[in-house]
Amino acid sequence: MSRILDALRPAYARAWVRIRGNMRVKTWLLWEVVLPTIFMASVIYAYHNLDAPRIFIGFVVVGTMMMNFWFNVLWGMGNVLYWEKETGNLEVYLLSNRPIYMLLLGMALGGMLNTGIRSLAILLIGILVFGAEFNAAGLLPATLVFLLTLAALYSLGLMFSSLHLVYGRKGIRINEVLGDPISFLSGQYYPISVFPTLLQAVASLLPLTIGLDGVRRALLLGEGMENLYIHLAGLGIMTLILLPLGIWILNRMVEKGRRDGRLIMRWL
Amino acid sequence: MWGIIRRMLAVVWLTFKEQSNWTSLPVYLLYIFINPVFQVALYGYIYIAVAHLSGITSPEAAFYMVSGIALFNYIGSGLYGVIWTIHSEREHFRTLKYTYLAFPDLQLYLTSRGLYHYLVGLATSLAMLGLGMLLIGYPMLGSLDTLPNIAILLLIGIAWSSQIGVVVAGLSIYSSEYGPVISESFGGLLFLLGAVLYPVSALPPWLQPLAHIFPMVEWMELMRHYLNPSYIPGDIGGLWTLLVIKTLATIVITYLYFRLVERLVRKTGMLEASLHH
Repeated sequence: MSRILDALRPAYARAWVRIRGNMRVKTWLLWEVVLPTIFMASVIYAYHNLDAPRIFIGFVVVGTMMMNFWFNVLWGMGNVLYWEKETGNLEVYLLSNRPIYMLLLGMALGGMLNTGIRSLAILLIGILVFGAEFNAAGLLPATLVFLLTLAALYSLGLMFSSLHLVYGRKGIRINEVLGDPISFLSGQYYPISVFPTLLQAVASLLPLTIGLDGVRRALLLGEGMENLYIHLAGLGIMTLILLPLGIWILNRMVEKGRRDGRLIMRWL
Repeated sequence: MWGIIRRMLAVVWLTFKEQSNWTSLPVYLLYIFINPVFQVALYGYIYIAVAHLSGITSPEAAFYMVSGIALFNYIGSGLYGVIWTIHSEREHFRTLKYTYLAFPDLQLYLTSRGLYHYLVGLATSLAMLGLGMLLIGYPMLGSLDTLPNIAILLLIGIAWSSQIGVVVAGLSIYSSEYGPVISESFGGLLFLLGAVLYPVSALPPWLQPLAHIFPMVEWMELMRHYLNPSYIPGDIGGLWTLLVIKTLATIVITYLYFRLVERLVRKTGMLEASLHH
């Protein structure tokens, strides 16, 4: 037990820094809630303008809430090793002789908490200001799908972070082109059932698409576990594949960086 | 005058190099088109989803949305290009102090950095417009007669939006903590209020007066009209008058404001106060 706790210490330490860092300026929280809310409001008004049924407000609120986690995976986890390198922290981590994936676990946990607070605020705004309606009975299955989605997404983030370690500035560009395409493919503002079949199949390869669909089904349509087991199984399998794969790729990239002498080289 | 144009062209070239030197030209071209293409799909599908799931169709509303998102891309690209210069040169490249020393006029420098992004925005917006209309199946019939009006509006768009960008960049100089969020929020505010996805009348009444502060609404409606002459947003002459007055006011206010900001920044030593303090 003490060995497990000892192994988790770097994760705890990094998560603490991340949480504290994000809370350093209190009003950041306000801005970070306001910004996605502005875009959410725009889409809700667009739906109003089209006389869309009320359920669409729920689609938008859930989509905005969950998309926040994707952006956190991209910029708060994937991109972070690049910035640690630029600011000179990476060499300190590497010298600490602790597995680097534990540091990333800390970043993931810290990021999840920070993003969770912001997403909760967005959910409340969606309900109180825009009148989104959710089915309380779907809360438990929605939570399960949501947690599994986070596990799969942050495992994917582990893989991204290794790309950033090697590709430097190119990694930032990769992140940039993973914004709108993923928003579209995951069905941020509508269910993907409106897509052509082939596009639905491609979109279903993303954990976020499955997670969003599952949470919407539970919270908006009131579907129970019996209808969501495919979502749960899919997300579970994705996590089981992505997590070890992410750790393996990360270790390989660190090794490669060491071999090529580029691991802590800045401005690449 | 030639000196100013030469400086501006040099900055446009610098911006191109800074934006593209991480890869080859074909990959860079692919990179600049990916997000806009998916963006028009993301918002175009809002209309398709409603039509698909509820049977409600309104080709005019679809045209409004798709043209709005394509035009916002043009304005947004340039605006963000201007605004992010402060953040990227101070935090990422740490060159803001050198720029300040080397370039005679920071306001002109910021505007010139934006110019490159307007060019990219124009190319990607054209692609978005074509793809978007294809996606929603709207038979937009363009007319060569309206091209001069569109060209003038594109230039006016640069004039007002780049200067709004300069105002926000001025705020960003003062606050490294809030610079990025102010930038993002301002773009979001224009997206919400600027007649992008819906007309101003679709906003709650208390938000509608805010929408008329900026020249964005008039610009968007006139652009739509000249892209598709069957779309009549109201009194065209009145819209032109309002657009010109608001644009001139934006330019004058920005000029005065930025002089003040520059003086204060030098006085308080905030030019290089980065987030890593």
